Amino acid sequence: MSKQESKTLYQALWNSADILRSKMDAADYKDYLLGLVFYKYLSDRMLYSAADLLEQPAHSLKEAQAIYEEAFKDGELRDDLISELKYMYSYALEPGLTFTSLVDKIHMGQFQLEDLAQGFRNIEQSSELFVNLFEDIDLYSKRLGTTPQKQNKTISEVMVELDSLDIAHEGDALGDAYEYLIGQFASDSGKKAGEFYTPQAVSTLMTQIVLSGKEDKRGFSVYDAAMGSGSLLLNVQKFSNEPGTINYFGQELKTSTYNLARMNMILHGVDVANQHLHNSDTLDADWPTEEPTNFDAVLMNPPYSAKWTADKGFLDDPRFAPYGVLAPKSKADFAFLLHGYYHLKDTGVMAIVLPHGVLFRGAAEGKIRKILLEHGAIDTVIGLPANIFFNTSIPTTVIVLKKNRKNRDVFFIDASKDFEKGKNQNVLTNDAIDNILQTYLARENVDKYAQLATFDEITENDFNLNIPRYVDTFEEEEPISLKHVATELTAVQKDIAEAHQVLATFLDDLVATTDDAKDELDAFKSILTRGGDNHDK
Amino acid sequence: MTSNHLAPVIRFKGFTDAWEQRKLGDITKKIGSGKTPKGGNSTYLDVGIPLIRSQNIFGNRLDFTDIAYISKDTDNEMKNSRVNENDVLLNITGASIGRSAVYREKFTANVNQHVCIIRPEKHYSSNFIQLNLSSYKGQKEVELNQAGGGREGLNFKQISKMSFYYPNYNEQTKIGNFFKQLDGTIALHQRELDLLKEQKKGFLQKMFPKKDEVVPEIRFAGFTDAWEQRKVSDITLFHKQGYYTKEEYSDTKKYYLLRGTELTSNSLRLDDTPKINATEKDYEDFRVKKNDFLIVRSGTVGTYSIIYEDIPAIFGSYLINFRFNLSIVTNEFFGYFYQSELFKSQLLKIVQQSSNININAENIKSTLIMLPSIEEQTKIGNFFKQLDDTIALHQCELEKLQEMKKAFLQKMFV
Repeated sequence: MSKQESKTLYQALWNSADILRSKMDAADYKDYLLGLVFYKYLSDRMLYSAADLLEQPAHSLKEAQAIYEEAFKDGELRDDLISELKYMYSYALEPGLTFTSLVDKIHMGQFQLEDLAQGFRNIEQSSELFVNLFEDIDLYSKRLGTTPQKQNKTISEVMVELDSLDIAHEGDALGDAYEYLIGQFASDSGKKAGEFYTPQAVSTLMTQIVLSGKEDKRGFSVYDAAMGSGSLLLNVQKFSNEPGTINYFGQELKTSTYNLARMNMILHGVDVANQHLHNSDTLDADWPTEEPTNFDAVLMNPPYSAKWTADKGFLDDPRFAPYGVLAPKSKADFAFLLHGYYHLKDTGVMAIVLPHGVLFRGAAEGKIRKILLEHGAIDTVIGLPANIFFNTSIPTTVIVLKKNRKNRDVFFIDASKDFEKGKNQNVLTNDAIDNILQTYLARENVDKYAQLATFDEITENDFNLNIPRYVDTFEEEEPISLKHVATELTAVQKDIAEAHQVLATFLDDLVATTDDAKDELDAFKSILTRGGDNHDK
Repeated sequence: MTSNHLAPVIRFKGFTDAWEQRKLGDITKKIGSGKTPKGGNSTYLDVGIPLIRSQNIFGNRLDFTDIAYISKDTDNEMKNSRVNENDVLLNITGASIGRSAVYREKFTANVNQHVCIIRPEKHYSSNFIQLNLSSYKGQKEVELNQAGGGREGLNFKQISKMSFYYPNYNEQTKIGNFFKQLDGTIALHQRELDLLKEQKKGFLQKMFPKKDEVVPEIRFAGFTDAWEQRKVSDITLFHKQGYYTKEEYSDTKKYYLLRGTELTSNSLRLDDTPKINATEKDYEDFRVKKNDFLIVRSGTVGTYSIIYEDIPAIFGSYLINFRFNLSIVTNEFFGYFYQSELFKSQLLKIVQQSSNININAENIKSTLIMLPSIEEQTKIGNFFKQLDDTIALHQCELEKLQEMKKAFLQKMFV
């Protein structure tokens, strides 16, 4: 897709967001908008395929709709078509429930919300893949309008706006546009909607790290145990040379976000057989427990310093047992990390984003860190700039973990100053990402930027991984020439003396018209002469 | 306003005429502003015609450091907002609303929509108008004229209605020159203060040994021994993190609560210090004592203060209290070490990034210090103390001069 096209696509999406923006928070309206975009995608894709199957390729949705409607009139043809479509997509919408026909009804003033709801239900019931996918979209919500008429009107407006999009023909582009919207929502609403989104730049960096050297691997498997909208997982698709063979494993706590990830997968053309998504609490029972349980890559951007139960029973959980202690109740960071690490293949690579605290906090976290380091699990620590995430301004770090390393050294990269200032956020530029990646791959010291620390050094530092301890970025102060300063001081003091004299002549020329003012004027005069005397010395 | 107010209480000799009230609109050839060229920031060039924006205008001073440039063509399109020498420029929107300056350059410039050009008629002095705008009365007018909530700024109509009292042109010029001299003097004092601070920095560089050296470049006569490297933990007798309280502050309560704010500029100031109550035990545990060394552990990391007398004060949770072995190190010397590059290069390694930067006592104790004899430390401490005092006095003098300008603005205008 050319840049121009994507701009229009983004623009149309954003315009439809405008319709809902006045009514509710981004965190809420994203469900409607993304849901409707997704429904349109399913509907359009099906219409075009139907026309193709009928060997009457359509050039517009209108044409396709007409062909589809026509075919439905013939009972035999209809049954064949439906079974063919179901085979391809596992769903087939009746002609009256396609997005195109619903928009027609809107224009004729005959649209019923119930039709759309029926369409949603039909899709949801058609396959396990779609179960409950639209459950967050309450078409009868009071937020859309106080009366059924108003609710109908709001949804209609959004659908009409989306109607102009030709999304079936831009599979990838739509997926990207979807991501764009998710990103926009995140930046639009800050904390609330941002928690499910990792900025593209960070995703790109982490993905390239875990994939490096395995770009050609078929059947590459990747796991994100806090997947949010699935954008981290889907990034692997962009950098793999065998994108169709990737197996995605993801877990997400929030149902609406989990549904978002499912839609995201479908929009990115991920085959049903390759999606393994799970809606559950990662810090509760382990998942996945059935083969495969270990993966080529683990990518995670978990919620920072989340609370968890830290229940004593977890000490027997194989994920946490080897460390003898649990991540503190108020900071689940290491619980997420250990969960992910547990699911990493011996040959795999894991990259996780966490706040800096995990690098230096003591107590239980210190003990876990020590054991990880003793096992050589921590391969690289990358310090990212502050304020690059939508929901928090704190500086973060990407920790790269591996199993079965021969060495116990740790490579440190301090990229905290590699950013461009954006409007609200700092931006990690492509150059900065490239630089980090190249440095990571070379694993060689770079002055003031990257340093390989031996295990002995780590031990000497009490297993504290605070980046500045290893990467010295101290810039020496400019040497000051005291002689130069002295010369300038002398000159300034001379100028001051002269200035005071000139001022004094001005003051001599002033007259006060009241006694009070005269007193003050005299006082000022004495200040200046005194000041002048001082500087004459 | 009564007639006897029509001349200021202080004025130059030889002028006796009454001042006359005039609206800006009646004594100016032009009141207007420019626009942001199409395309905004991206159209700005590295060279060309300067485009003055609100961030370039300070109190009667134009700062060209981050000036934007536009092309000749753009300037031509905006020829109505070209700036001439002696135009008064006034910020009319945003946070810097009301800031003004006289344009004193010979070369032409342009302005965007946030800066208003006020071009006086003959017999009206730009400097005089600018002074009126920057006076208390002028600022008050700006404030009053802001339509609704302060965000909307001033429009040209409001500006043209602003009225001030004017003497004849000669007297305007004389007053203008006087304040120019005053501003110049203040700027010189500011420069002197900056140089003194620079001088102290220079001495800090040269009077502590550089990395891997055992003697400094400059030291007091009679001292020749090598300095000894010690770990800060070796010279620390005691340290404690401050008292955490959620108690409400009240002036009638018993104890001062010392926070980072009290330690600004490395000396203890109790001007706005809140007061709290505490149990006797907490007070005993957390009171400051003479010779305590307080450091800020979060936020303004690197700041400290020495306690010179017993005061009824508790040190708060953002501070750490150190007591050093005063037979090996003087508090003053430790303080200047704490300001030196020798420490700062280590500080960077021990601060911990979070939403705020942090250091803890263990981190500080892990740093290395270079120590000369107590006698030499005392001399060094006294020397820097003297430099600090000088800087403080000059700071004070500068503030007084600024006050003086304010007073003259009040008394030399109507």
